Amino acid sequence: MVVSSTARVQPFPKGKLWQSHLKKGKIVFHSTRTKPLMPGGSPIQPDEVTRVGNLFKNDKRPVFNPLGTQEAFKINANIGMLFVPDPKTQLPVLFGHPERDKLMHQIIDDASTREYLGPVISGGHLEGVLDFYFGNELSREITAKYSLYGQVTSGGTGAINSFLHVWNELPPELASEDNITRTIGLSSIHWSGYDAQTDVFGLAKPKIATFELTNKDGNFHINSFKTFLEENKHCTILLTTPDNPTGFVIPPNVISNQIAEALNEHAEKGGTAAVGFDLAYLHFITDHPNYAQEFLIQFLEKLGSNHGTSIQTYFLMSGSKSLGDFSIRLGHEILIAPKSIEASTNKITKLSSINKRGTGGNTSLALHLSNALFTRTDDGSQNPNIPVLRQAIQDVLTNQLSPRVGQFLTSFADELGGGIKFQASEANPKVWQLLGRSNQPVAQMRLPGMPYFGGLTFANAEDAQTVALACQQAGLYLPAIEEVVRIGFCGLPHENSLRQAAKILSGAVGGLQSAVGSN
Amino acid sequence: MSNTSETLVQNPELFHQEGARGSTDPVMGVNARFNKLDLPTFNPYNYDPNLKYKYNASAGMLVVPGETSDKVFVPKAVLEASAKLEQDPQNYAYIGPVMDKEHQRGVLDFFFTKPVREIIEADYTYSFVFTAGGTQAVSNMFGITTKLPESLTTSGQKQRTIGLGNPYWGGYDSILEAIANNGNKPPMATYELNDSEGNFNLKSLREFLQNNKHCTIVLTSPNNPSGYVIPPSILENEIPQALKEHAERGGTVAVGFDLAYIHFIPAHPNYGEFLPKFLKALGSTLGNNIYPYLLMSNSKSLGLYAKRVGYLGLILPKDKNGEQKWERASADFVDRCVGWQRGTAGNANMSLKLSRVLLTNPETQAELKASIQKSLKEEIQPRIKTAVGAFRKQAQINNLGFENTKAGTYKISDKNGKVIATLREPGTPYFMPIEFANSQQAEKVAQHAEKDSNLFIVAASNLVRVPTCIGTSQVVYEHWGAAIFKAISSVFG
Repeated sequence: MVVSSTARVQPFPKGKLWQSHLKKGKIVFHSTRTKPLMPGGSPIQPDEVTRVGNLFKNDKRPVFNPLGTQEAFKINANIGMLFVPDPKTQLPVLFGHPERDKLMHQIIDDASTREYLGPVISGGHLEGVLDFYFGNELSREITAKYSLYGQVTSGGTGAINSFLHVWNELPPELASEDNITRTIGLSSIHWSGYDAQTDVFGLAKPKIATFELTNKDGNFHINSFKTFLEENKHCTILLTTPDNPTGFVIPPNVISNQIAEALNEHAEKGGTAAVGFDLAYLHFITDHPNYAQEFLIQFLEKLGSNHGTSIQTYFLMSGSKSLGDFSIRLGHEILIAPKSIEASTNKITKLSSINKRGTGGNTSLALHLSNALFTRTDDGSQNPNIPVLRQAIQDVLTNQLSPRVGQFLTSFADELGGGIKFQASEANPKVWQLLGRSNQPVAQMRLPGMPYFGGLTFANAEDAQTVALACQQAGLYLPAIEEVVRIGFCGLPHENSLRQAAKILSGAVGGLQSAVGSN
Repeated sequence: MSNTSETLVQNPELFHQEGARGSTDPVMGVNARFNKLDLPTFNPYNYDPNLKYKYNASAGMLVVPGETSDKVFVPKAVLEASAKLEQDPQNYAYIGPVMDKEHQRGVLDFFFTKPVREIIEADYTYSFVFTAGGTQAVSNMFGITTKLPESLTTSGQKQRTIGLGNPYWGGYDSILEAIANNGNKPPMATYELNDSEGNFNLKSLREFLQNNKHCTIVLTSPNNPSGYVIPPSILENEIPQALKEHAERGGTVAVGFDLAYIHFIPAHPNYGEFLPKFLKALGSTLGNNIYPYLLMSNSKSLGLYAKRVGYLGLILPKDKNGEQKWERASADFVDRCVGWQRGTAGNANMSLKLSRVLLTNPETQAELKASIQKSLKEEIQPRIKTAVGAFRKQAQINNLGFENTKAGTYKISDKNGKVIATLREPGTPYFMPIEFANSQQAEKVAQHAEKDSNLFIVAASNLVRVPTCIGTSQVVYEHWGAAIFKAISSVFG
């Protein structure tokens, strides 16, 4: 992307919306830079989404009412929770499931579910969990072929924490002098929650290195991934697909071929890697409704004898998004290993359990809920809740979430003016480019494979921050994560919310010097 | 036969059980073996005297009698509030662990009384954060004090020793294990909680302080596993005096009061009243050398085990002359905890909402306290006498002496009259300890009880822990007593 690195941006945007409101005297300045919830001096900083969320909370403007006629308002496109219009009022409500609600109430009434429970899941429960995420057939195939260890975790965050923690603090029985120091590998633009995870490790932050998730054509950047492996002999890698913040989905054939081959080459050179697939948004992939079925077994088989020895494979799941159960903190961590290496699997299992207990991350209620929702019936059949939940997710994906992307992009393109354009790239129609007044590319958005989020990628983090700040001033809250401004389509359930958000974002982009040019 | 102190670490197979609670804590090992044994579980409501059963005496949850079985103690107001919250879809949204001031006041009122809260508010700076149960409160404190924020750190304090009173809850070990760096746990040392007379062992605590210039100590009162309660006068005088002297020698101490069982002290229904006197006695060392942390749990008090409701607080001096030193340090503390909890995934979202509903309404809070006190007085406290009566009978059956030597203390002797164990009525009726001369003896007794009678009971340090929190009827104590005294008889011939 060609953007002058010396271009300075204005402290405040001067896009057309902004200018128009200034002229009409409609701008009401609010102090969104209130005292941070977490003042400086602490080495552990909140992630960007949390920080922006706190600014949103502290903003005194009323929340945008999609049915109202407000002049001053705030809109939360920072949020990572899926909202839908209430069928009666059309006002935003958290996506949930009648079945889940019914089960929750049953749980409350059942005295046994008040008891403390540990996080381990096994048998029909574990198989049911695999069924919910991966499908019934694949669940049975995995169970038959592999040695499994599963835990209910405190949300997807808990799954990531457990995975990272265990593999970066290897105990003597699994560690050698050579592999005790491991690098955490993340894609260069990553969910900032990963940083929060790595900040809490023992007495020193582990080494983190990054690889580029996508190349200039918008495809998985296998060369960058290989370079990362070459430079980090022993590593713990998170492959986030669908990705937060960009919405990018690693194609199944890339996982089962290119990534597996790169890992095998790494193992042959004496390297080791613990690979965690962060699949928190698995149920929201538009192009691949059976995503896991398209790569999982092929990927594991391709690893051959490296699987479980040099290459460990974890699947980190979240019920938060799929069930709207954010506050219950239901996640799952599943280790899949060859049956032949059960002994070392046991060691890993032990460490995972200790970590969960020791960090206070047990979620007894979540385990009770997971059990009620997913566990196979006594005769081993599929839990009848699973197809019901899947259908609910599919309905909301098809009828709610997917259309939002198109609506937003159309509004955004329409609102842009002053010679700034937003259009599909000729080389790749799935990549939309934002062209400045001089027709130079300023930013781009790859149409997300998962419509929960969209990422508008700028040339540098400074541009992204400037746009995000300008949006905040105008009442639209979204986070700048490195050079990406993340648009939470999940939090914009009404066409009026989408339109207002697009308007504000276009105004903010219009104020960017790199977009308007130096004249 | 498995060794009772065999933890899950030594037997990884047990980690694969549904609901296993991965831990280095021996309790979890005992519990896992109980689950694994293929025998019916003894049910005091319905059992056949001719059949063989297994008995779980390892759990630490408070249960009360129900109609056809025991049930977890949960006040009615908790059930109602919980059901109401879970009907509103908005309550399923994710939120963080920061508590507003009203909620924090409610916590102080509930655990320490309103007059204590008023003193704290007037004279000190304080902050609480919401934690995933008491375990997360401990994890937070260990985590953040082994990595103290700059506002509370000097260069000499980087490495802090964790100090635990022996005997201690095995969960502390798991927490240290979890916050280890590359397998290196923070250094840990112990002091003896009690002297030979069963009184607080101040001498041992002083020695510990002398040997550990910068440390994080935990004062667990009431204690798990022993049920011992540190007398308020010790907390108000001797302990702060020892801490002050330590500070004068250049030492620093993060003092964590683990008060998970605070509502279950019959002799001191307002136990939390020690706090203002403790703080005052610290004088100028408060915040400069001594950092008091408060660790609370509503698992026990409100039966919210599964929902993970806990709190961690830090109390510091009040700022004077317009300074913001302590406010800033207090905010740093919240900052650290939020980061730590975010990182360890210890948020407990809907539970925070439930806690707020329950503790910010004075009427609800009064109802909850009354419910706990009623249950304590009418149901739980009488279990001690029931247990002692049943145990005395079983001692006689096994030709062992059982003599009441002083109020609440019973000496158990062999057939030659030699004292081999001591049973003390505990300060909290949650647990009752039978003390032996050393940990090996306690261990052997627990092993025999498991092997010979299928009674799964925990040996910790030199004692066997009788969980009166789950023993709701005489018949239970008769069966437990039969197993325990048969085991004692086997061990001591």
